[in-house]
Amino acid sequence: MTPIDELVVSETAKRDRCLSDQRRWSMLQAAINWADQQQSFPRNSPRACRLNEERLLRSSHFEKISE
Amino acid sequence: MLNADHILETLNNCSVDYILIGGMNFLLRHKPVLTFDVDIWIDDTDANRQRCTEALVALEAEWGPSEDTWASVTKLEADWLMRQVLFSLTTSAGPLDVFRRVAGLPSWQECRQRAEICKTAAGTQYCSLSDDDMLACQFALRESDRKLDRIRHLESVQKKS
Repeated sequence: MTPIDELVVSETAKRDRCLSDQRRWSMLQAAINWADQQQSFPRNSPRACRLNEERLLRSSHFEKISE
Repeated sequence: MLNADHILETLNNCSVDYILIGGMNFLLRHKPVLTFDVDIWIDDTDANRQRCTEALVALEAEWGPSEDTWASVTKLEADWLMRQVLFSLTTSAGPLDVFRRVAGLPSWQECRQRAEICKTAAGTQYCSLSDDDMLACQFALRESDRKLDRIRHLESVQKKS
């Protein structure tokens, strides 16, 4: 690792140590919500749910499972 | 907006037998990954499906076989969870996927025995799919569907223990 890489790792680790678990969890959920807002349509919408459900039902998750 | 604590609390309050799986389980137990929904695997019994429906009503969940027929789950027949093996729903606390079956894993009861009861940082209790079962789940998928970063991380955790 270069000195800059090491600094990035140590700075990130220091910041993480300074965050309470509760603050970190709240920031993670806020980041998820922010990322979701950048999508063309939100994940918590009928359209996204239908697409997600169709993708999962078509995937190898379910190819060995039948009702 | 996603509020995973509210989803888990509601499932707990309605005594739903569930195991948290997928990206949110990995995020809570290991390290942050970008995941937009909460995935749960429920014990697929009549009584538990009934409790799950009650939780979904409390969460103001909506689902439909198509976008045109999307509506509150209160409008569906009593045993609507029997319709298919998974449901991707909208709720007032964010998107929720309910699985009745999960490929690559033994029975729900066997996985429940290996699962751990954990708490989110906000203090909400949840039942977490074990690391071994998370890995088994990934290996059951086609290679193209696998989450390689999760596999690498879980394998490194296994080696250390």
